[in-house]
Amino acid sequence: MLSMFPIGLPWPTVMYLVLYIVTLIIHVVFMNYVLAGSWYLVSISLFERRTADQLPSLVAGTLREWLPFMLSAAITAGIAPLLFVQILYKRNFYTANLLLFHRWMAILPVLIVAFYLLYIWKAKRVQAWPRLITFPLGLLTFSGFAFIAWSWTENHLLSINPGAWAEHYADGDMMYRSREVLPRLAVWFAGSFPTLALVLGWQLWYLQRDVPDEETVGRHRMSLLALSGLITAAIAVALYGVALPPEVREAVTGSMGWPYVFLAGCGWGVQFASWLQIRRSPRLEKIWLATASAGLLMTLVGVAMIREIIRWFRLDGNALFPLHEQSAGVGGLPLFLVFFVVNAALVAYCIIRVRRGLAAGASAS
Amino acid sequence: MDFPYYPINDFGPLMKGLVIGALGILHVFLAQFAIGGGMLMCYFQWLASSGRCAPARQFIDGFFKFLVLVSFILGAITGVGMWFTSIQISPRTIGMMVGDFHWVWAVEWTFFCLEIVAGYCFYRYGTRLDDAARMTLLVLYAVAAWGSLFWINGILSWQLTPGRWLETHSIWDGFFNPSFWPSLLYRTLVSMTIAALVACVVINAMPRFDRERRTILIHRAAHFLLPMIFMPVLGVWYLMSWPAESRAWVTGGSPAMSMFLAIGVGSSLLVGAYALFAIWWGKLYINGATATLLCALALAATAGGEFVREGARKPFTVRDVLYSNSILPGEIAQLRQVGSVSEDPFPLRDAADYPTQRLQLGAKVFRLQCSICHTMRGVNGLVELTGSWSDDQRRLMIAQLQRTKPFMPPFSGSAVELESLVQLIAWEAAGRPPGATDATLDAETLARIQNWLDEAGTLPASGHSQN
Ligand code: HEC
Ligand code: HEM
Repeated sequence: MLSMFPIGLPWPTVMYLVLYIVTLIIHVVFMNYVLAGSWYLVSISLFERRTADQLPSLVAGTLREWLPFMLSAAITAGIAPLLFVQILYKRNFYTANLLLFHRWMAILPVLIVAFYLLYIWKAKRVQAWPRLITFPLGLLTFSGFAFIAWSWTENHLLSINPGAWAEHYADGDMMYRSREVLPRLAVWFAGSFPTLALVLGWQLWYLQRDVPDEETVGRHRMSLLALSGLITAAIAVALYGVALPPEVREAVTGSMGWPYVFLAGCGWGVQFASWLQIRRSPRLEKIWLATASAGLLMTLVGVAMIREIIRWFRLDGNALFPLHEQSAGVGGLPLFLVFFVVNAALVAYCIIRVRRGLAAGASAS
Repeated sequence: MDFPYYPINDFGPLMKGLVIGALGILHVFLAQFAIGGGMLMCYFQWLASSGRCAPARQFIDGFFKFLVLVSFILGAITGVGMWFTSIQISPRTIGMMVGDFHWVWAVEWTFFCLEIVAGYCFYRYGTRLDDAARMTLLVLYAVAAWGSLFWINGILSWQLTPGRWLETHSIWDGFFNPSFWPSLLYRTLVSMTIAALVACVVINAMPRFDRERRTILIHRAAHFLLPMIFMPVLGVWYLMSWPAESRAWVTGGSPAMSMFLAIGVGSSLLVGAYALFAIWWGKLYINGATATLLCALALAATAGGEFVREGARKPFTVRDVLYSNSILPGEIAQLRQVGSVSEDPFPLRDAADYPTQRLQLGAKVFRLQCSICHTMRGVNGLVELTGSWSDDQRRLMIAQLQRTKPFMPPFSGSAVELESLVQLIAWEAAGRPPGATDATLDAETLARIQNWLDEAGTLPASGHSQN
C-alpha cells in the first residue's frame, strides 16, 4: 500500500476504522488520567506533608476526588472500541485473548480491586494514615493499573503476530515475550502524564476561576508533569522505533504514515511550547491550556493512526475487507446515530441541569 | 473451506459452561439490581417530594451510594467480564452476535454512557439539588439502565428463538424475536424484586433510622414486590415462546436442567409467598437477616434461570444457526469429507502424553467437537458415560450423536477421526496404558462407521437448521 492510510481502503473498513479510532482516543484520555493519576498518588503518599486536621492541597484533593469517576469513564469508553475491534480484527483479537487465557482474564479481579482502592483513597481517614501504610497502598493501586496497561499492550502485540500463535499455544505460555512490549508500554505510560496534566489542569483552572493569581496553585506542578512526560515519551518512542522490525518502521515513516508522524510531532511541539508558557504565566491560563489541548489532540490522533498502521502492515487486508463488508450489510446504523445524538444531548442536559441546580442552591443559601 | 480455528483452552475438570455460568449469574443479578434500583429511587423520590414519606429522601441518598459502589463497579466490570468470558467460551458465537447486532450493541452503549453520567451526577451532587432536579437525574438514570436491558435482551433472546430472522436475516426480525417481550417483561419484574429486597437489607443496615422509620420505608419498598404476582403468567408465556424441544428438555427431558428450573421456580415462589403474606397482608416488619435470606433466594432464582436459559439452547449457541462446538450446520458435510481437524493449526499442548499419532488425532477431535460440553474424566466425562460400552457401541453412538441425545450436534468429522476418538476413549478408560502402538485401521470398521454416519445424516435431531 503506497498511499496515505487509510486512503484507498473500502468504505466499510474505513467507517469501522474511524469509529474505532475515535472511541479509542476517548478511552485513552480517561485511561491516561487513571494511569498517570495512580502513579501521582504514590508520590503524594510519599511527599504530601500535612497533619490530619489540615485540608489536602487542591491538586491532591481534586485528583483523589475524581479518580474513581475517571476510571468509570475509562471503562465505559473502552467498551466502544472493544466492540469495533471485534468487527475489524475479530480473529486476531479473539485468538490473542484465548492464548493469554487466565493471564488475560486476570484483568477483571485486578480492575475490581484497583477500583475499590481508588474509593478508599477518597476517605479522609485513609489519607491521614502514616506513610508506612499509604505508600504501599499507593504502589498497589498503581501496579494494578500498570498491570492492566501491560496486559492490553501484550494482547495487542500478540494479536498482530499470527506467526507466533501456534507455538505460543503449544507452550501453554501465558505471557507473550517480545522485544516490542516494554518500549511500547513505556510510550503509553510516559504519554499518559501530559494528558493527566492537561485534564487536571483544566479542572484546577475551573475550580480557581475566582481566585486571585498569587493564590492559585497547580501551574508549576502541572507543567512539570507535562514537560517531563513529553520528554520521556519522546525517548520511549525512539526506543520503540528501534525495537520495531525495519520493514514496519519504514511503513510508518513512508508514504503510508509520515503525515501522522508529522502530525503527532507537531502536536508534541505545540504541547511543549504551551506548557513552557504556562510555567511562565502567573496562573493556569485558559489560552495556553487550550493550545495544549489542541496539541494533545493532534498527538493522540497521530499516535492512534500510527498504531493502526503498525497493525495493518502486519495483517492481510484482503482477507479482512469482505468481513467488514459483510458486517456493514446488517441494519441498525441509523438507529445508532439517532440514539447517539439523543443520549449525548441527555448527557449534556444532565450536566447543565446539575450546574443550574447548584447555582440555584448557592444563591438560595 | 476456511474454517475459523481458535486455540481451545482446557478448563480442567470444571467445564467452561460452569465458568461463564458463575460470572453470568453475578453479572445478571447486579445488573438487574441496578435497573430495579433506578426505578425504586424514582418511586422514593416521588414519595419524598409529594410529602408522602418523610425519611424517603435520606434513604435515597444512602441507598444510592450503595448502588453506585456495588453496581457501578462490580456491575460494570462484570459486564466487561461477560465480553471476555464469552470470547473464552465461544469466540465464534460472540463473533457472530457482534457481526449481526453490533449497531444494537452500540446503541446499548450510548444508554450505558447516559446511565453512568446521570448516576454520577446524582451521586456527587444529589444532596445539594432540589426535588425537581433530583427527579430528573433519577428518571434519566432509570430509563438509561432499563434501556440497556431492552437492547441487550433483544440479542440474548435471539440466540434461543431467532424466529423469522432465519429466513429474512433482518435485524428487526432478529431483535423482536418470539421470546423478546416475555423475556423483557419478566426480567423487568425480576429487577424490581431484587431492588426491593436489597433495599430492605440496606434499610436495616442504615444506622441513622430508628425502628419506626425503618418500618415505614420497608413497607414502601415492599410495594415493588407486588408485581411479582404476574411472574407465573409471564414465566409460562416465556416458556411457551421457546422451541418445543428446548421446553421439553428443561421440563423433564434433562434431569440437570429440570433441577435448575425447579430451583428457579421454587426460589421465586418462596420469595413471592413471603412477600405477599408476610409483608403485604400481615404488615410484618422484615429484619436484616430475613431480607438477606430473601436476597439469597433471589440469587438462587437468578442462578437457576440463567442455567436454564444457557442450557436450553443446546445443541446450539444460536438456535438452528451455530452449534455449541462452534460448527455451522452447513459445514458438517464437508468436514466429514476432509476431516474436522486436518487443517487445525494449533498443536496439542500435551502431545507427548499420547503415545501414538492416532490417539493424538482423537485428542484433537475431542478438543474441537466435544470439549465444550464434556471432559474426558471430570464433569460429564466421556470415560464415565461410556464406561460400560463396547468399542462398537461407542462407534455407533458417536456416529449418530444427535440421535444418542437430541441436545448433541451431529458428529462433524471423518470416519478415521471418529475411530481415533473411540480409540482415545478406550485408551483413557483403560487407564492410559503406556505401550500402545498404532495398528492399521480396519477398512471394514471404517466402512461401518461411514455407514452409520450417513444414516444419521448431518441434520440436528430437531430436523431443521440453517446453512
Ligand atoms: C452441546 C453440548 C454437547 C456436545 C458438543 C457433545 N455432547 Fe455428548 N452429551 C452432552 C450432554 C448434556 C450429555 C448428557 C449427559 C448425561 O446424560 O448425564 C451427553 C452425553 C453423551 C454420551 C452418553 C450418551 C448416553 O446415552 O448416555 C456420549 C457417549 C457423548 N455424549 C459423546 C459425545 C462426543 C463423543 C462428543 C463430541 C463428538 C459429544 N458428546 C459432544 C452434551 C454434548
Ligand atoms: C484502567 C484500566 C485500563 C488501562 C490502564 C488500559 C490501558 C490500555 C492501553 C495501554 C491500551 C493500548 C494497548 C496498545 O496499543 O499497546 C489500551 C487499549 C484498549 N483498551 Fe484499555 N485500559 C484499561 C481498561 C480498559 C477496559 C475496561 C476496556 C474495555 C471495556 C478497555 C478497552 C480497550 C480496547 C478495546 C483497546 C484497544 C485494543 C486493541 O486495539 O488491540 N480498556 N488500553
